[in-house]
Amino acid sequence: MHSFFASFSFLFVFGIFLFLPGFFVLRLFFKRHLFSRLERLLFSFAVSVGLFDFLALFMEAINVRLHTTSLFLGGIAVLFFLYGIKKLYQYLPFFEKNTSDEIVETTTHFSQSQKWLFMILLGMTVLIKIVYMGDAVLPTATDLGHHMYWAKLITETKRLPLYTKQEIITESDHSYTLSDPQPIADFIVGEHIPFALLHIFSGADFFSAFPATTLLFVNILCLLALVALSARFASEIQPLFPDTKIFTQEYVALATLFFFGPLYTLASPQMKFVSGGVVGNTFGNLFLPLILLCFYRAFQKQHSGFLSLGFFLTLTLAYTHHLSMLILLFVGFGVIATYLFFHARTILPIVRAWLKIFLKPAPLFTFVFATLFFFLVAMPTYIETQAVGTALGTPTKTTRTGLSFYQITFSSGEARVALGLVGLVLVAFIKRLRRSYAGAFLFGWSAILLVMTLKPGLLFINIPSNRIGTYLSFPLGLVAAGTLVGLIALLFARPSTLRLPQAVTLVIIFSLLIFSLGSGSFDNSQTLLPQSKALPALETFAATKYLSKHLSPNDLVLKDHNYIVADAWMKLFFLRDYAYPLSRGFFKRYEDNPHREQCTLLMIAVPNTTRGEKCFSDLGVDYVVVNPHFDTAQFEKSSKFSRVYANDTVHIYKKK
Amino acid sequence: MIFMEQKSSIIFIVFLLVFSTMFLFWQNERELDPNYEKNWWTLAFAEPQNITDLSFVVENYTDNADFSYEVVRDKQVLEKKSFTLKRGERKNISLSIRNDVSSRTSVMVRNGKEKKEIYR
Repeated sequence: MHSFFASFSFLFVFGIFLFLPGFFVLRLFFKRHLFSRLERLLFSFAVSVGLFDFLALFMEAINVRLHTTSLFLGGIAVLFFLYGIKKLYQYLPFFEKNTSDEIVETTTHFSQSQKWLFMILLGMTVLIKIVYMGDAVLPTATDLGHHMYWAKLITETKRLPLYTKQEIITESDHSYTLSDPQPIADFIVGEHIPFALLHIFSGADFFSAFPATTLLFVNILCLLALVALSARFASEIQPLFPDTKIFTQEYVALATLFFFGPLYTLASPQMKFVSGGVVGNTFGNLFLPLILLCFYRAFQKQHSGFLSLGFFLTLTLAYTHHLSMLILLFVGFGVIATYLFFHARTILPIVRAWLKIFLKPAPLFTFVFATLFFFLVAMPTYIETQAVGTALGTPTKTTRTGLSFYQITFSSGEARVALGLVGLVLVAFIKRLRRSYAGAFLFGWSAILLVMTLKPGLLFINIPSNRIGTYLSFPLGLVAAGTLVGLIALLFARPSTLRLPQAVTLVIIFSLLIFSLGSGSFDNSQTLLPQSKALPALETFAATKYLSKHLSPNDLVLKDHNYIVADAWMKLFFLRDYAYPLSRGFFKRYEDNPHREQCTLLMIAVPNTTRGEKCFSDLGVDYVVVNPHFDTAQFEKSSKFSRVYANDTVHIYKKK
Repeated sequence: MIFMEQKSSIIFIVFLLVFSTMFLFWQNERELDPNYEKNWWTLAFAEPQNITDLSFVVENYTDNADFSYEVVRDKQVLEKKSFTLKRGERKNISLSIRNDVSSRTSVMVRNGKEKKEIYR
C-alpha cells in the first residue's frame, strides 16, 4: 500500500513541476494550434526541465538555498517574469509581431484504425519496457548510483554540488595520500536537478523506483518525440506522393513508432540506457529530436518563436549532457551544409531568410539570455574544466577510430540500417525530396553521424565510437520508417506508376515487415536481464547501513566494484565524498593504465604484501568491503584483519 | 494527425505512464522487501570499533528461527548456546567473554545448514 501512495505522490509532483510550468509557458508564447496535443505534452516537459535547471543555477549564483519554499516561490516568480515579458511584447509598438503565428496547420480526416494501431503499438512498447524494468528497477545500476549521489547531495546540502572528488596520489617521498577534492568533468548539473526536484517535493526515496521511473518516462517521451518529428517531416514530403493515400504523416508516424517502439526497444540507446542509469544520454536523446523539431519548424514555417524555443532547449541541453550537445552541434552543421549544398544557386536569399527569422525579438531575447546566463551565471562544468579539448582531436584509442559497417548494423538494428540507407539514397537522388527541409534534416543528420561513427578522424572526433553509434539509430530509424511507408505506397500505387501483380506486392510488404520484426525482436532478446539482483543488492545495503551506523568521521572504507552488487549506491549512505568509499575498479582499468593508482587494487588483492600494507598504513584505510565468494582467503589468513560483518554476499573486514 | 490531436491518445499515454509508475513502485517495494521470497540472515559485531567486545547482532530473514552460536578461541569452544529468532527480527547477544587481542576469537552462528563466522 505504501508503494501506491508513493507512486501517486511522485506522479502528482512530476505533473505539477515537470509538465505544468512548461505547459503554461507554451500557452503564453505560442498560439494553441501551433502544437499538436502530443507535441505540447513533450515540449511542456522539456521546457519545465529547462526552467527549473536555470532557476536552480540562478538561485545558487545568488546564494539562495534550494528547498521546497524557495523553489516553489522561485518557480512562481519565473512564470510571472515570463508573463511580464509577454505583456511587454504585446504592448510595445516597436516589437514586430510574428505574422506566421497565424499559420494554420493542415489536418486531414483519419480513420479510427490508425488511432487503435497507435495505441496497440505504444501499449506493446510500454509493456515490453516495464516487463524488462521489472528486474532492473532495483537501485543497482552503477551509473545511476553515481548520479543519485549528486542528486541526494543537492537535497541534503540544499546547494548545487561542486563536482569534485578526492584521489589517491603519490607524494614526493613515495607515500600515498588522498588529495584535496579535484574537479571532475563527467557530471553536469542538469542531469541531477530534476531528480533533486522530484525528491524535494515528493519526498520519494532515492532507493525507490522514482529515479528509474523518471528515466523510463524520459525514454517514452523520446519515442513520442521521434513520432512527432517524423509526422512533421512527412507532412512536408507527403505532396511528393499525390496519388496515394498511404504515404501520409500518420502512417509514417506509425511506422516510426513501429521501428522505435516494440522493435529494438531494449537495446542501447533505449532501455539499456534507462536500466543502466545513463541519465545524460537518456535526457539528450529526448532533447535532440525536440530541438531539431523546433529548428525544423522555425525554418520550414519561417517562425521565430520555434527558433527561440530551439535556443532555449539547446541551452538546457548544454547544461544536461555534453556528448548530446556536441552531437547537436555537428548535426546542425550537417543539416545546414546539406540544405545549402542542395540549394547552391540560392544560398544568399536563403541565408537572408534565415537571418530574418533570427532577427526577431523572441530569438534575440533568448539568445541574449543564453549568452548572459552562460557567461555571468554559470558555465557547464565541462567548459569550466576544459574537458571539451579531450573530445576533439585525432582519435587516441582503437575504440575511437570508428565502427565497422557490421558493427553499425548491430548497434542501430539491421532493418533500420538497411531501409535507412535505401531511404538516404532516395533522398539524395529525388530532387524535390533533397531540396525540402525534411530531406535536408534527414540527410544531414544521418550523413554527419555516419561519418562520425565510421570515420571520426575526418571530423577530429576523439570519443568512443560506440557511444556516437547509439545516436545514429535515430535518423536512420526515421528514414527507415519513411522508406518503408514510401515503398508500400509505391507498391500500391496505380498501375501507371509501378506494374506489379498484387500477390508480389503482398509478398514484398510481408517480407519487409518480417525482416523488420525479426531483426528488432532478436535485438530485444539479446538485452534481457538474466536474473533479479534483489537479494545481493539488499545484502549490500544492509552491510552499508551497518557500516554507516558505526563509522567515525575519520574512518576510511574501501569496497570492491567487481563483485559487489549495487556498490555504487553505497556512497549515498555516507555522502562524504564522490570517491567515498574508495573503490577497487574493474581490473582492466589497472591493466590499461599502469599510471593509475594501484592501492585500491593491492589493498584487496594482496593486502598482506609489503605494497599492500604500505597502502593501508599510508592511507589509513579502516574497513574493507568484499564479496566472500571471491575475496576471503587473503583476509582470513591475515592476523591484521577482523571480520566484523558477514552475510551471503558481503563481508566487512576491519584493519586492526 | 488525429492520433496526435485526439484527447483519447493523450489520455492513453497518461494512463500508460500512471500504470508504469504504479507497477514499478510496487515491484521495487517488493524487491527491496527483505522478507519477500528471500532467505538470508546477517551476523555482525555489535561494536566493531571496540576490539575487546565480542557481543554480536543477528538479523533473520529466513523461516528457520532456530539459531545456535559458538565462541571459539584456539580451537577451544568458550561458549555454546542456542536461541530463537523469528523472521524479520534482530537480536543483540551480549557476551561476557572478552576478546584476547593476542589470538583470534571467532563467533560462529548456525542456522540450519548455514554457518557464518565473524572474528577479531
